[in-house]
Amino acid sequence: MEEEVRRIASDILRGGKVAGVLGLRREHGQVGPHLFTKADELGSLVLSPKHSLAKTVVMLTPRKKRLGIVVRGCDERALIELSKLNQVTLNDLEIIGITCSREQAEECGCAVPYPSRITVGEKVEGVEDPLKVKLLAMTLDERNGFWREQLAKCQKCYGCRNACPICVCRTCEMEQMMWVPKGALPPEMPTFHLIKVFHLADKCTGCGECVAACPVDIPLKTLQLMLLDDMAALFDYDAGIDEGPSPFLTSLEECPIKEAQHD
Amino acid sequence: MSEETPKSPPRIGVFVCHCGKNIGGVVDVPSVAKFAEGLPNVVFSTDNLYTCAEDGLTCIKDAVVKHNLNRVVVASCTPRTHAPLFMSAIEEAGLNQYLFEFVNIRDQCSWVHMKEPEKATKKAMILVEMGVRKASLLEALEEKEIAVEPSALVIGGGVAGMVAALGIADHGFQVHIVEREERLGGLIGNIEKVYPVKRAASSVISDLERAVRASPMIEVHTSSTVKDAKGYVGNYDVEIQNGGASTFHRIGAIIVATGATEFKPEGMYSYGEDGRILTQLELERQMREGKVDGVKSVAMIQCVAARGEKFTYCSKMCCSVAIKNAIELKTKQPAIDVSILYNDIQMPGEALEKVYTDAREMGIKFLRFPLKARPQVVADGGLAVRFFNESLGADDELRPDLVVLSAPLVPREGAKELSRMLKVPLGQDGFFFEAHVKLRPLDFATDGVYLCGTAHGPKGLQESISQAMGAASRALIPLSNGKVRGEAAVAFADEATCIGCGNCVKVCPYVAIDRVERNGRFVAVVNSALCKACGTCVPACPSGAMTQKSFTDSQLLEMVDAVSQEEA
Amino acid sequence: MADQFEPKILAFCCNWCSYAGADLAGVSRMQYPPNVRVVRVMCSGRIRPEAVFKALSNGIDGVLVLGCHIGDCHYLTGNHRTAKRMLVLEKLLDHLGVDPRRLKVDWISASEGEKFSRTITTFTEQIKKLGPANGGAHGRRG
Repeated sequence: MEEEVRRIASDILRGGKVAGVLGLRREHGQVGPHLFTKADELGSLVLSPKHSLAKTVVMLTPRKKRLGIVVRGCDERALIELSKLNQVTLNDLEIIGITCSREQAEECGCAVPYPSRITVGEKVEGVEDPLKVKLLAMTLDERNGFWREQLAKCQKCYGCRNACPICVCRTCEMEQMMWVPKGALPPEMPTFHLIKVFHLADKCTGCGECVAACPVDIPLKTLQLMLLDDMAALFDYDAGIDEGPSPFLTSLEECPIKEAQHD
Repeated sequence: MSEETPKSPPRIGVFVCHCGKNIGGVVDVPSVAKFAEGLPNVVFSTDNLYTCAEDGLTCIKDAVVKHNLNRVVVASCTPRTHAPLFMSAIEEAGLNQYLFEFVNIRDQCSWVHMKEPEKATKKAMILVEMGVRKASLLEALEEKEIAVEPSALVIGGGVAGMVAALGIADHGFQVHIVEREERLGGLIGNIEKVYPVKRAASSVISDLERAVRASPMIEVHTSSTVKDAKGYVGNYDVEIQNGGASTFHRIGAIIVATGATEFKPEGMYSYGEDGRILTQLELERQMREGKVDGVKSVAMIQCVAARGEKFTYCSKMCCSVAIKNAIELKTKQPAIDVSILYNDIQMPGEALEKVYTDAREMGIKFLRFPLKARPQVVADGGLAVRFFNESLGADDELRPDLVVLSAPLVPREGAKELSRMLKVPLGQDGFFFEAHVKLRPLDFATDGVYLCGTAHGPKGLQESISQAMGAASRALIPLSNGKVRGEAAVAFADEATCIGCGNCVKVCPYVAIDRVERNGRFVAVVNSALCKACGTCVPACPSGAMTQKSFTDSQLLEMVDAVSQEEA
Repeated sequence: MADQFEPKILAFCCNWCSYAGADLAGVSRMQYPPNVRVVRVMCSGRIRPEAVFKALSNGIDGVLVLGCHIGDCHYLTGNHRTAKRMLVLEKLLDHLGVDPRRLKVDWISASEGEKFSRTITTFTEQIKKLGPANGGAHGRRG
């Protein structure tokens, strides 16, 4: 798959279609994000480990030239959500969509391990997050106990927020005194985490970067996945896949509630 | 008027009201005043028997001056009735009227906890603390004023458009009428007579047109369209296009009077298969051209495509149109056989009811069919109309020379584009949608744009004319005042924090927020003249850039915190 | 300890409908439990779900969000967003193990004084049965 991606990247670079290709580069045994601007650099382009480049696109927007980018399913979804937030322009991107393997899907607990536009790779079926299944089977009190224990570990490092491809706010409410008092560890529970979770309820792509970044393994992603299921059930809305606006922004005529909840 | 938020720390005065026995009979008012003394930033606290009375207001004004207060909290009845009174009192004392917070300890405390005076007192105390905490963070506010251009645009030169234009021109304002067709007159230009007055439609049009053309304030643009209308109430930049040429105008208010058109029921009731199957408008034209003279029998079918067949609504006027045409036919040729197949007859009012009676007395037949089994029309060389006759309780058939279908009025082509251009909504059926069906039937939610006539939905001439006069009156409010005042507690986007996502723009019901380029970035800017101070944009903002003055997150959270901290 | 538990109830009320309905309950002298503290906003659309869960995390045992009936919002569609946001918040509370019945969203018009009084009474009793919310990580309550 890597060869194929390098070939495509080379084509679009040489053909002048794009001024550069955003991807991962292996150099001196290390892998990091890189903007490939010359075709002969592409020998060092790799596809693993998984790392989202969507936020990098935000940093490179606006710009005058088209950019190529290697994206997995979650990256593409992040780009679509960022585009809805007017932080990237999809039209000036040349997307090279790659699929994840079964192993990668299981590692991430990913339900949609492929982009909508697949350039290279074979689609594999997604998996259910095993923790989600476990939590749904618990009682209310059991879940309460679980999350108290998990959130109490928090070191307020902001890793989850920093790693999230959708978190692009210039100032973050998780850092504001009026929402989360300073000087306490763990930070106010569950307010600190719920700010992120609620803000991302209609945007999360399930990429799992938050979990990868967390030094104490708080499974924040699982909470987001449960909300994504709710958004689909209540509003027929799939974050990162639907091109329409979030149900939180539209009237009930434009996007009604599916289940009968209120009179 | 003092505009500046005091730069010194808050100095709050608290005034707790007895309201005679209304509050004082349940709540221990003096203790509440004493409790307030101990709250942070409170430098003065007292109780009054009737704070709204002359001496109560004087007490407030004196205290503001004597104790150099820069925030005032009154704990008494309800802001919905008495806030304006206290706010003007503090304004008189030299303080911006928005540096004021009202605490409700009567309607929502003493009156509803009459049997629990101790708990009511404790509640009053915490409510006062909530008010004091919020007051500490209040800022001075102003109501933004914008000038209104003394001119109006009427889109549509039919009866409603002309009446509205005359209404505005009569008050001395310049009006531009933009009409798509070559001639003024609109829908009724296609008909002969208007009932129940039995006047020629052409004379209604010519009377109005004469007045319109005679008015020095009205400029008529026929064969023209509104190419663009940018801006907001009082300040529109309108481009009127005629052929290839455009003219540009500054406009203060816009009236939508674009009318409606008769639905052509293609593929229904064999319409289009035979030239003897007509709509009512087509019938009127043929009557005018003498093409109906030899006809011996006519069957009219009501509710074609309406009331659940293709459209949900009843088009209000098809009954009077059908009966009118039936009477006209029968008057000209008394021997002609006319049957009207109906489900319900809508002839509201005395005059129209009389017309209905006259029609029956003339021998026009009324035959009822059920809505769920509509009549069928077959062109088999002749014409067959088959239906279930409810009066007979049996299937029936007519073989008329002519079949006339009463089809509903539907929105005109171009309504969608216009609705986007003016940022006004369309309803479920594609007609323009008013701000509130009962309270604001001629306004749009967007300030400065008004609605009248069949553009709003099917209606008769009388109703259209009333609406047009009404819409003109509504438009005259900002025009006559020369200015509009905004709300004080408006939303505000912090430019440094805003990421320009546009969420706020999407949720604002009043289209009061724009996404503009500032210093190389896109940010949201609230038009404080249009903002209605609802605050819906605040939760839509992902980054906390959006606040609502006098209802900021920090103010509301302080109030919540007071409750959290309250001792059990 | 639980027998004398008096819950703390916070109610966000919109100026045009529910706050007016609350005033009407007062004018009509309808009596209801004194546990509720009202925070007035202009529109229920102003209410941030974050403020609601912060309240529940800080010693408040039940939160009411009261707006205009759908279709009657003074600001046209403000309450539409409230309806959707609060619905998702209820789900989130449930996922976290917080009883979603601690949040109630209801629509009360200016003429429904009786409904206001009844809503407060029923909700207060409900929260009494549920017990303290035990919110707060730093020992503020429970």
